[in-house]
Amino acid sequence: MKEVTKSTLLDSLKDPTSRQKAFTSLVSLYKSRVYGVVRKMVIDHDDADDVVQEVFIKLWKEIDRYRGDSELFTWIYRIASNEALQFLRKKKRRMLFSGDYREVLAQHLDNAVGMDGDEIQLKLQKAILTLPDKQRLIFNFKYYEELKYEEIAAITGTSVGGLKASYHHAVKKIENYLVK
Amino acid sequence: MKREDHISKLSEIPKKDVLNPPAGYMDSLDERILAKIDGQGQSTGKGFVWYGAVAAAVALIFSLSMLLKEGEMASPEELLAEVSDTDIAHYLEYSDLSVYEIMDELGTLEIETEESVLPELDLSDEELEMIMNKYDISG
Repeated sequence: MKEVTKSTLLDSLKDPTSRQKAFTSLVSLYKSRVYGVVRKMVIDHDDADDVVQEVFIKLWKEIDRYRGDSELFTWIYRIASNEALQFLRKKKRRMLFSGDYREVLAQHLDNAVGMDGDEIQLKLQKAILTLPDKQRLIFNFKYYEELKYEEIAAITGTSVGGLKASYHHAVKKIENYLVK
Repeated sequence: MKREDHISKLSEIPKKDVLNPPAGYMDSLDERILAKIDGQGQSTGKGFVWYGAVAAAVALIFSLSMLLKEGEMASPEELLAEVSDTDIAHYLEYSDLSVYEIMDELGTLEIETEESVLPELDLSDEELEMIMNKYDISG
């Protein structure tokens, strides 16, 4: 991923006098990618909207803790992943006795993707939804974001070997679902 | 492209992002995020955070030291049981742990949440419906 603006943006973010302006640029630069990552995990747009806002608020609060030893986008994606997974854990817990949260996510898929009448894309999304959340996240990073395993490893803190195994297993499960 | 009912490989499906935001959403997102950050900045004084953190830590240390003074070899669970929920909540709120880290830890424990005690409550249909609506789980 292109990190041309990284050093200047980072310097501006660290400087209290230019922080606000730099953060506005950061939001503008990353909002679509953060939304994409989060939306693919929480599925519903309104939920994604809440989580995306939380991600940027957290980024703002934790700017001083970012030491610059990882790529800026890695740090941003890490916070986005954590917030999305945390949201799903809460949702799962809330729905412990009232039904399967994946069914609710599948309903949101029907509404969002099914409306376009693209049956194969809907089936693919439902197949992806059968994966455990962390595997789904890894799959999305590799398949949709087209990140390298090394980049995903930096975001998720998982070994490259583990990620490769997880991704190939995910593809297998998805393909099994497709032929059903 | 193959017929949909014959697709068995992921590579046969055109890759496209189907979960897109509504039109115009991205145009107003920056403004809403920055407004939220401004709002939070005004409501939270730094002094309050520091005093709160110190007070919570002192309360927690005091509670634990009182228990240790009694000379009992209490288990961590017993020690924590003696600390009030409020003190623990304050401690966690002002600690360096992120919400994610705290939730991650909690996820591995059998904790009693509002949700887990819910089925044991004697609720009327009206109350149940109100709760379900609140949490948007009526569907």
